[in-house]
Amino acid sequence: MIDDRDPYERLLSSLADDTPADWDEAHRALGSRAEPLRDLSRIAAFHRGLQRGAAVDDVPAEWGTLTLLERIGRGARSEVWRAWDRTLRREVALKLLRGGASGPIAAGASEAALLDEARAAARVSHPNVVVVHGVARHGDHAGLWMEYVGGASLATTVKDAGPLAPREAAALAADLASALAALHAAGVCHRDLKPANVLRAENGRWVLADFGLGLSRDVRASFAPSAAGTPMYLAPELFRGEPHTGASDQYALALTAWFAMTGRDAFAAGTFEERATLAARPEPPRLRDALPGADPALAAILERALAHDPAARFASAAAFEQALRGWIARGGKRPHPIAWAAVTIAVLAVAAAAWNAARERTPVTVAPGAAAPAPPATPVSGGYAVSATFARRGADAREPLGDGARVKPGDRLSLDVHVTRPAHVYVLNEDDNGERYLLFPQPLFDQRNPVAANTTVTLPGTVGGVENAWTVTSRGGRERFLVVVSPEPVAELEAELSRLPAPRPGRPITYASVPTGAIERLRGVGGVATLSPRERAAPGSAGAFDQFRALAGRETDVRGVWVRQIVLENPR
Amino acid sequence: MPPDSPLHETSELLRLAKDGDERARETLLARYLPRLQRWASGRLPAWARSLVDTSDVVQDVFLRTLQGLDRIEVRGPGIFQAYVRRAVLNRIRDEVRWASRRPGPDGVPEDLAAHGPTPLEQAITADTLARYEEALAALGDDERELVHLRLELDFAYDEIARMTGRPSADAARMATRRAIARVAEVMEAHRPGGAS
Repeated sequence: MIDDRDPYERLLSSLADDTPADWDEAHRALGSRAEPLRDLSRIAAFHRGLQRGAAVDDVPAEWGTLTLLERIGRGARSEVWRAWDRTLRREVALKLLRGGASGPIAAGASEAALLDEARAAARVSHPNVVVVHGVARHGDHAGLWMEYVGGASLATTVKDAGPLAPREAAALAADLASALAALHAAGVCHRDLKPANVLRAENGRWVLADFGLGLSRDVRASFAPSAAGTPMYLAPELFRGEPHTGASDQYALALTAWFAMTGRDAFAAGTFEERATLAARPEPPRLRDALPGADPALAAILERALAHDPAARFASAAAFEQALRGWIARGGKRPHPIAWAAVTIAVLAVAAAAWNAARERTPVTVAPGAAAPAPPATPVSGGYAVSATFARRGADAREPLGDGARVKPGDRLSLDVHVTRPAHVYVLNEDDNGERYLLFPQPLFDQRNPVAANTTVTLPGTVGGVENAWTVTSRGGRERFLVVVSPEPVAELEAELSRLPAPRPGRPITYASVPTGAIERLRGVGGVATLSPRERAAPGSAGAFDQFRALAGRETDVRGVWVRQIVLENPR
Repeated sequence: MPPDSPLHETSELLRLAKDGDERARETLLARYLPRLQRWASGRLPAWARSLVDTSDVVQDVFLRTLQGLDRIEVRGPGIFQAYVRRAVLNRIRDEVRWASRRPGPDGVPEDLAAHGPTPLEQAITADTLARYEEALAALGDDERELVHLRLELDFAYDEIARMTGRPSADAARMATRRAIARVAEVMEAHRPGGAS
């Protein structure tokens, strides 16, 4: 039998199956033994390129320090390749402009414009904007290389899994509006915002890709349907030959949000002429025609961004974002959106404190509020019993997962908790990169703290009455879960919760407001909140959960805070 | 042969083609020719592209091989692909040599014929390609066929299973995986500084 825990076997499988391999890890684990497989993977990638239609006449096998691996996209004027940066040893996405010396970008002026625009874009640093690494010309080809985002596009996600709930789509749109605001501040227009250009990174973040290269000023040319058949998301003024502005981007974003929540394009047009006719109508499309249950306030926001007259739209992308965030914050009965990054840090601080105090004691328990003197701790009379078990959820089966069990992307996980007195439960996740997420509690879950005594409570439980599960969305190598149980609210954490800062642009706040059903798609293990690179680099962040005892069976006579971890293998 | 005939195995098609079955011949052509032509384009140096038409070369080699089936002893399922692959490579080499001897449109210097890299060499270096070819030569026909079909011609496992007479895609996958492992082993043994 093949042991895919063996790095060599895993590489062989990825080679045989044409799935991505982590060559950095392979070189670390195998040293030069990985080399022949690496060579074979290059040979295979080269041939796949030939077989899947790479035009070897047009596209070089190498471009600067990049080796082209696989074509992942093709537009009217450019191709996007997954490429390998030989110098920095990482995968990147490379956008190569079509056409050699006689191609559309050969004229010095257009190329200079491209370079200027890409340079400006490269200055933008925003969590929802793909990171541009550089732009150059090698031989006949000008191109731009950037962060490789492996995830599916919004277009694919909606096609495969159906539309997002309006609140979720609004949250996505707010993130993208914030991204547009950053681009516009740098003097760049996206020019080609559409669902196919919105990608989901493995950690759940939505990223705006493929910007600034809408070189064509010819509206008709850009109507040519791409391979994915995406219609254009052009604003009416562009049909009149007016220049592309930030307001045109705003319009495209509103159409993208529309698609995200309805699963359809606002304008159903098969030809350029049909689309142009629709664009000439002074009235914006009505969201409630497409989505009768839509909140009128949300419809009003979208329709304002879709105003025929650019001047009637929001004054800026930032204003559009603000309106969306305001709606999210006001909408429904759910509490204010919360800056989850801050929560995660707070929880970790608590968890670490619990352990530090616990080192001197046996068993691993800490008096509640030990680090915060304020409220007098309610004495726990006698101990209580805890049992907590992770399970993988099938259609009608529930498979218990022990320490070291294996999970894979797509697996749905839940946690069964049984306590003999009402208790506050906190569930955290840390992946192989040291990124941590608060999985429970979250305002969107129906289940709140404390959980009831003497009954088995399944977390995360339901959202709006529909059962949900945490979904493994990425290959994390190793998933560590920390389960914290306490008869009392954990004082430091609750205090942090209550004084969280108001949402601001760029903060990963939006997943708290995801309603029914949509959650599995959007979030999951690794999909909630990410620590900033600085926080990730903080000392002791790697494998911080390792300090905790493994989760095992039922434990009786627990006193104070109980903290256990379980490690699930999630091989790359 | 009806289109839904279960007789899809390459060896069976070859047997029929040898007996003059036109549809078997067409099936073989349709199955391999486009992929072989694309594959061959990676083996032709860029400078020779205007002088040698790989599509013609591949088609010619393929048809000649089919006509000459009597001369090929079809022992194992992999012998045909191995033969065609080798024959195409040899033929390209000959064509390139020939092309380099006549004055090309740009007056291609003679020594380019020996040194002009092919796109595949550009992608992986000539040394690596030599080690790869050496390793392939060290394999059995069956193994070589699997590597050729999967890594070079990009066939899916269910097609490979059907072509090589294996019971399932998974069986084809396991066999291919073993063959790839063998290539890697031989390449490792031949690597400068590698295990010997």
